[in-house]
Amino acid sequence: MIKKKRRKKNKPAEKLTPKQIAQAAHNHLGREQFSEAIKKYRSLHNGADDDRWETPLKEAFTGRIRQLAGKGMLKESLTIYDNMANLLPVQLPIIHIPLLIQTDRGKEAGEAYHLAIDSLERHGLSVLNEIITALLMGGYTDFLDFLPESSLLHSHYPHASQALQAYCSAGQAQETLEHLARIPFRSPYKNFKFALKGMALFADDREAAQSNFAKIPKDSPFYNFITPFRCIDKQHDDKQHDSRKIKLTKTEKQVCQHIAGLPTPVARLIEKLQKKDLTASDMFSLFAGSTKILPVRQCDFLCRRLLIHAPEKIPLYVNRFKGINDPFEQIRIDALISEIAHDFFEALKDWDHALKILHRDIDNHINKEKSVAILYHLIGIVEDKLGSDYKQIGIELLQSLIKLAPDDKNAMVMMANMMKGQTARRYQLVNEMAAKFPDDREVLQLAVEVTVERKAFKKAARLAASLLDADPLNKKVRLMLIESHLAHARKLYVQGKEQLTRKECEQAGKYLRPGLGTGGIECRMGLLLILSNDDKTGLKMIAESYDKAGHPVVAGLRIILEATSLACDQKHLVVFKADLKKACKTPADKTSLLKVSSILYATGLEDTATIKSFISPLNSWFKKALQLEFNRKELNNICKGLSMVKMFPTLKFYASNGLKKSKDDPLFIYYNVLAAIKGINGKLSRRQFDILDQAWGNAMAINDHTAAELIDELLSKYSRQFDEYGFDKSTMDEIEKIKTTNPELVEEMEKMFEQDIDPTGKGGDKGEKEKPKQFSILDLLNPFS
Amino acid sequence: MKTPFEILSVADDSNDQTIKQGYLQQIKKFPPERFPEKFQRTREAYEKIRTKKDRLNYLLFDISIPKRDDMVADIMEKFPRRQPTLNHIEKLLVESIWKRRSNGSGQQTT
Repeated sequence: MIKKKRRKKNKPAEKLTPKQIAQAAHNHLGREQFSEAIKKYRSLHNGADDDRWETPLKEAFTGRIRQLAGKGMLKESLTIYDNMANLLPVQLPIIHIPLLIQTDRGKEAGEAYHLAIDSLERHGLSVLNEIITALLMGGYTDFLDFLPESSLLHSHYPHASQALQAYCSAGQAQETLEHLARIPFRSPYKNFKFALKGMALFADDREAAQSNFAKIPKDSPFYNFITPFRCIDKQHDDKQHDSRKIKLTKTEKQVCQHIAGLPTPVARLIEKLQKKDLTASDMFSLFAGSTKILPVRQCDFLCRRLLIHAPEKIPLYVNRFKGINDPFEQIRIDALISEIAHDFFEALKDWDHALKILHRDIDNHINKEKSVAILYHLIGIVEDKLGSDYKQIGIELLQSLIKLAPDDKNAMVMMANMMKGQTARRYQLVNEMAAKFPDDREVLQLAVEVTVERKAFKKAARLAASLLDADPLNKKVRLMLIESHLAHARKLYVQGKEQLTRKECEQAGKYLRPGLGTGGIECRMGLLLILSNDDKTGLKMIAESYDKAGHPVVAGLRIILEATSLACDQKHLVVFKADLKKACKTPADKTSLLKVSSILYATGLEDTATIKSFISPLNSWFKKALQLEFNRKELNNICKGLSMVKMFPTLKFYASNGLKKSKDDPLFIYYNVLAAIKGINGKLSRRQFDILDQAWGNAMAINDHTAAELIDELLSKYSRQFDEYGFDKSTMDEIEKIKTTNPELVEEMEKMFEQDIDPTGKGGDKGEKEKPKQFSILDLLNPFS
Repeated sequence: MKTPFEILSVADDSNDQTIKQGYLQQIKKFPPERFPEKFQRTREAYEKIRTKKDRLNYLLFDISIPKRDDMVADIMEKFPRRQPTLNHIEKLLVESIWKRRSNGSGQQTT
């Protein structure tokens, strides 16, 4: 029956071509299926008239011999060796002699060894000697009788043997080392010496142990011998010997366990712990089930840590350990579970509950400290996870925090920062802070900022001056001080107080230093001086502003913007306009173009009507700079500036430039459409609506929140025009009307829609077909639209 | 699994100064060049409980999953190490001559 089966199995192989057999044999060899490889190569070898199959056949034979010998099937290995020797003209004493020794054929082995001494080259003989060394030290000492007494294998054996005996009598490391020291460097026991020396030092000096192990070459049997030590000492180990990556034999595992001193269940636990892809839940189960082999306290601690990542294990935890009796601890765990699940609103609720528990005994300083920490944590959640829409919650949390810790400056600064936009309340808070912390630089700096925001420039200048006294090298404060004076001067100029304007400018000038700013201050100061009839100093300052700005367009634009905002007279404006026009003849460089873009962006929408009258020369200046290389961020800044001042034709060029670099970038799709419809209030077609809608989806998918928000803002303007499916609402109303007057036409249109006919005739990319069709039937109803 | 306090060998209610002393003692015992992993663990423990605020944050909000290597190290530390027996060594030596490793150590007999 068995024979029949074998024949059946071999049948298809007979039909194979030699090339196919060779491929199959090669595959078997690669998978260490040596028996199959031998069969295939043997059939190829028998059918061939040359020796080309000898090498792979020899490889398959040696693989099989080693495989069986490794399993302890030594006689079988020897038989296969004999088969190989009969079939192929090869002698492999490195394999043959150890097999003879291990099968108690010492005499034959001795004879073969004598022959090998003459036949093997130096390296081969050294490898053979090392294998014999391993066998002698492994207990096959009878073979010593068949070795000449003059042989180093014979003469160095006593030292090696005594060293091993000393090592195995626990705690005799010193004696081991003394015996090993008698083994000379040129000895077949050399690598055994390194191995045993490393083992003897392993307990006390890992580094010395590792340096001895590292001396053993990889082709030495002693390299395999020390594998358990390498696995145990992962800290010094190279990655190849990580115990999780190397497959250990049964003996090696036993030795590892023995060296580590681990009882079998603990060793099993460690083995399980080292498995790949172990989840927190798996780890929880492992430790929850290990209370008999590890201290319960340790298991409890680990399970408690893992519980928040494996909430489904709570019942098991309660059942196995003492449970969670403290209500605060219960709610704390719930809150963390919610946080891990990204359910931040639930987490806020849980923490609120936890705060209430702590509040029952708020006079206890530990409870107070915990409450403050929780409130800070919650503010962090509101800021980082919930976004600006929930700012008010953050402010309320900060208020609670300040109630608990009234001297917490950090909380007050956070609150002032969070209150941006609520000028009056912020100003009041900052004044309270300045009174409470009069010498604190951070508070004073914040007070200056908020006072400027409140347009109390004189007070801001006073605060900034006192801050600068304390910190004279602080450039930011110096700039704030100058800006405060200039802002006050501006106020005075608007009130028609020219003399006081000049005086205030003079005050600001006192704090000017070379290298401070990029010309903006000089521009504003110069202009104010010119307008308050101090042309000489004013022109000097303007010249300085041109020098510092780096490009005449930057300076020219700044001056004209400042002049416009000061409602400067036509006489001066004409001169400034001409200057800007002239400046536009100087080609743009990357820095100046970005600077101009940021100035345009900073103008704000309300100024555009005035700005339009003088920005026309900038169009050609920007267009000429299109050949410059910009990255995405820079292009975005340029587009932001251009869209702010409604330079739509130029914006179209830069948006297209962005799309050339990244075809589907939602940000540039937005700017492209914005330029095409000439602003956020332009007329958006259904197709453009579709494009933007798709771009919004892409922006959300790639977490480009800036683009998503911009698109959302634009689309929301048209939410009245298009319903949630993208249909034009006015058109849908018209259809409803036509349904009553001409139902056939509507039916026909619906059929067309079902057949997925593009009613616009403009086509569309294939991707659109997969989406529900978003179209307006306006084109059909009104072919002239 | 040891707590950061146990790693630094300090009590749970220690102050900043005691914790710093504990940390310095530990890094003296486990210098980074000789014990990189232990040093790293000591450093991480110190970062977690360095100040009062850190300690509160650790006690209330720490959600880090214990590292498996640390868990194994802690378990192994509880059991005293031993030496392999002569029987083990002889077995290993004999097996080592026939063992093939995928990293090429099998070259010895080819």
